[in-house]
Amino acid sequence: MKYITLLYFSFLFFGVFAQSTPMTPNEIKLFKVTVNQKTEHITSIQTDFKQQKHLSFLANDITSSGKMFLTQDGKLKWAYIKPNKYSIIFTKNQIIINDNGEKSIVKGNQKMFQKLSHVIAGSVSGKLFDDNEFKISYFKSNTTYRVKLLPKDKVLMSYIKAVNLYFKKGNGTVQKVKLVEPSGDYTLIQFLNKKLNEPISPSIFTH
Amino acid sequence: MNRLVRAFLLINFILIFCSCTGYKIIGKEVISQKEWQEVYYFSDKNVDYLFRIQLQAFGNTFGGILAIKKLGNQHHRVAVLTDFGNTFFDFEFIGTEIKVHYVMPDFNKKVIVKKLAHYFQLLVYERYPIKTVVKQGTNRVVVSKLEGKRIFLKYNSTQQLINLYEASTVRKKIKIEYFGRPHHLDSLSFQSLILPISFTAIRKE
Repeated sequence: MKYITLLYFSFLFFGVFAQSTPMTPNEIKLFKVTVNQKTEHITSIQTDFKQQKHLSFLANDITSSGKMFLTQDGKLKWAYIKPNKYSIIFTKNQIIINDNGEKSIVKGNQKMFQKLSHVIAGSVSGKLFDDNEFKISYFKSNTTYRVKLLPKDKVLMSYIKAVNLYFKKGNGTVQKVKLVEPSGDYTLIQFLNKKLNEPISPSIFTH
Repeated sequence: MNRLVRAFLLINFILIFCSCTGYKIIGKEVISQKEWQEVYYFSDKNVDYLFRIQLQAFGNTFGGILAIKKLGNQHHRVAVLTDFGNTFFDFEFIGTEIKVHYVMPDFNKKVIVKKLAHYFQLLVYERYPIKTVVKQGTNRVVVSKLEGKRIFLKYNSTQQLINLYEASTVRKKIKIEYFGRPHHLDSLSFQSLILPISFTAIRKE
């Protein structure tokens, strides 16, 4: 359930970065309650996504798109379809990578993948709202709520400087996630065509 | 005991020395009209050079994106990213100077960073001083040096760079193969002949 909550939060991210002001303590409380209510009964999420990678030295962002699946028991699959077919499946004990038909399994104890898995699933399901792991601040604009998470863990800090989750007002679900690297370069992921609580075939997580 | 160790080391040294056939270029040495050999694969400042990369290192395989940008004269930025967009490493090369902008903690060991930086420097280095040129049929090999290391650039009859070797006097150390046209690279393969590190990169549309 915690993964679902996190994933759900990720979908809510919709960014209007400018002109945002900090939320008041009462607004934060109400926002958390609203999100919890909305994510409480989610058993699965599947969605399309568009990804933009911004590197300061490139003229254009690198774009890709695909589908994402998340189940209540914490199975997570990111399947890139364009421009290349590439999927990565996170389960409790292992990570299965399928690079255009070439399959490989990564041990789950690798730091990088553990941290990545945690942040990605957390972004989507809401677990990132953990005060012990992140310094969290809340912002609002006319159309959007933004939750900014700064890692406290030194290992995670060396991979990710900040995670921004964008929730469109009145929608209650995460629409965009912005993962900022220590260099300031970032990855922006937008979720589209979300489907909640629809059955996901177990075979989705096998290849 | 010391005597035994010394003898063992001496025998090993002799065996290694005798088993190494020095790396030599076979062909006819010709006089070059130029002092410098330019490499044009990453020479357009207006282009974001993007490749799908598959990297094998010490038994692990990583897929991702190789991004190369020319920023100025003898000035390039090179980054390798995961498909998620996380940066594996990010280097900047200005002439022979190397700046390390970021290396993922899992790779951030001094020796590995140094090697990786050198490997990617070889990819984007674009102006080699010509020491000698050797003709091999319709191909020619330009012998050069980069930071004291011997570099061999092989060109075919269409003046396309088809491979690059780094070699000491006793063995080849690095091999890069290029596939494409003289000024346009479709793909490349890289192999360290010393360490278990290799990668292939295919140009993204």
